[in-house]
Amino acid sequence: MLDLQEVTGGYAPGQEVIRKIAFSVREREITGMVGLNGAGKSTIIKHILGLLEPISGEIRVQGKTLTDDPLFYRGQMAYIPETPKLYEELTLWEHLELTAMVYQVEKTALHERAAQLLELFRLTERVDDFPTEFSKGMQQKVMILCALLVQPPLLIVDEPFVGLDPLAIQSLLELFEEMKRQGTALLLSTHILGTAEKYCDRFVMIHQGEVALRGTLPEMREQAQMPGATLDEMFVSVVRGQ
Amino acid sequence: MSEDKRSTPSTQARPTTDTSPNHQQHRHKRLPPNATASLSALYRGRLQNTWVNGLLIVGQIVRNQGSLVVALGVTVLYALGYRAFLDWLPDTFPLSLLIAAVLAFLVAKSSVRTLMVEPDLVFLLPAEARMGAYFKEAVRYSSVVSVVLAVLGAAVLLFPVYSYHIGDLTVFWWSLALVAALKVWHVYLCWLELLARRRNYVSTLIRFALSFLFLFALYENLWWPSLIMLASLLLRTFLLKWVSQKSGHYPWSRLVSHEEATLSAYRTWANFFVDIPAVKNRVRERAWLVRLVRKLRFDHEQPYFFLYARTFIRHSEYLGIYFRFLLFTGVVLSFISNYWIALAVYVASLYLMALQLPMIGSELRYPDLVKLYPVAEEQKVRSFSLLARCLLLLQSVLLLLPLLWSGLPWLTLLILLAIGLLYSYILSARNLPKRFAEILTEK
Repeated sequence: MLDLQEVTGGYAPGQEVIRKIAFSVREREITGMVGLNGAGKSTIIKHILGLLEPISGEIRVQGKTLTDDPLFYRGQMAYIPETPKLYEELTLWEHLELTAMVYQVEKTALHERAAQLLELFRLTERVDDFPTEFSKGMQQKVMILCALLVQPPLLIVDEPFVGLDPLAIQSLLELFEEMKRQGTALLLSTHILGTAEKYCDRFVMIHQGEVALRGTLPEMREQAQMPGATLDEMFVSVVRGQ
Repeated sequence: MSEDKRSTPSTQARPTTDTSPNHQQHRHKRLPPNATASLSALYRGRLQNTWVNGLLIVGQIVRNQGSLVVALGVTVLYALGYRAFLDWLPDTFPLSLLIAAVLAFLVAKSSVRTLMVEPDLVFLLPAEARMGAYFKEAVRYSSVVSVVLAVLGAAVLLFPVYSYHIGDLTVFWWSLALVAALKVWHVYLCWLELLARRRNYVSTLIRFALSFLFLFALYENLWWPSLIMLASLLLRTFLLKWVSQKSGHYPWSRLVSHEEATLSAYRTWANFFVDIPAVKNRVRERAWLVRLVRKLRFDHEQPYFFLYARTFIRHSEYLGIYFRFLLFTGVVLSFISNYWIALAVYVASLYLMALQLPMIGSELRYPDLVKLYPVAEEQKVRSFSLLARCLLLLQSVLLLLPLLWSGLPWLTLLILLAIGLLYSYILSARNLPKRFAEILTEK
């Protein structure tokens, strides 16, 4: 679904933040991207989204790059950012309506999906309110609702659990599992290694702008030469340069 | 933020300035000499930055050719309208009523620039007891700037009528002095309203009404009524001061949101001329207007019309600027009885409005998400063009209303309307999409 081939990039020419990043995100799998603050995870996501252009290397979604077919490329993915980014002048329902229009979701599908999601995240009563006045956790729920409404082939999520209450985290994880079963490819950038280990099928461990380890847990243990190690132990080992 | 209920230790020193909500209870406590100096310096530093940023934006506006055309256009419209008004003005017209209303409006529309930002709720809150010095600077600065602007405004609005119609400038100079004195008073009242949690439309209306009645009575040489109005204004001041002292704490969140609203208003005005990042603005629901837009069907082809129309309606300033411009042009048109001048003003107003509209769709004001949508750029242009067409067509129709009083024949008015509608269509279908597309590709 998503292929990064030797991607080097950053915010300005000559200032590379990520170097030779290569990994894939497959259908019916959750790929966890883990790394320290400042490791380059958000920069990688910005490159995938097309907000930054790679200095070298290629990013393909279903075999196409952003330049090949921008509408197709963008139409394949939905994104949940780390911090909520909402329209000041739109109500919660209007956020959902706009998302449906933009991603060509039919009106009947919008109503069906929105009703389920609003119920799940306990926001049914707030549909006519302005989300910019919600608490940060609730704003994040709105971002999640909008992304899930689209039912995209590829979902990119940056630190999904920050600011959410335990019930919302559980609902979100169950939804991710359900989406995975239905064929969605998920890329999850997170710090919460325990949850990542439990729910992700594959991992990419980013350290200082490069891929340190990648693959399934057994594959990473082999690469790190740490038989029986947990994700947490491998992470600490990579970060400490052991 | 529950700032209204927040308490500070009673042992802490309280500000000794009259900008404190409860200085009287604590004025016996002395502060160390340098305790408040740093906070005054903080305000002055912020003021300097604000001016530097403001001047940079003014520089950008001046460099923008469109803004020069608008400035010139508005000046010409103003001069034409004023001239037509003076020609029309009968001797029996209650001029003192109009002058009192204009001056009362100028003094009542006051605000205090506290230059506060959201992090202050965390970083300055512990210094609440010493914030009097900071706010004293804020009130002083706001008074000076407000007086200059109000006096300038009064001079521009009233000089022609005094000079060419009344023919005696003595009252004019006295009026300016009166505006200056009243303005200082109103800025202080505005500050007290903020402290007393009474800053709203009703408070402004009360100040306007009292000042209007005072000025009108004064111009009519009704000494007792004018003194009564002055006493009422004084009473209002004491009342607000008493209420503000009851709480004993600054309304931090309100001060921050008041500053944000002021900044947002300035930025929106500037945004009509140059593209600058938006700041947090007050959103107004305006359900009755959005209901009109909702009548449009759910359309996958027009997602940006959905977004732009709601932004235009709900943003605290866009709609206000649109209607204020309509009102200004409408007043000018209502005094014009010459067909050719009316046509020039009517068409010029459409062009001037159209010149500023592309900024509504500026991507700087939307979250990054808008860049990720799988929607072709042409749709943005098409949606913007549709919104611009609606606004300009509405303007063409509404601006015809004041011309009904001008005495122009019906056929002439119909021709004017036809020209207005046609020109609106041409502007929104040809000129504006090109300009809007240029703005999008500049990003």
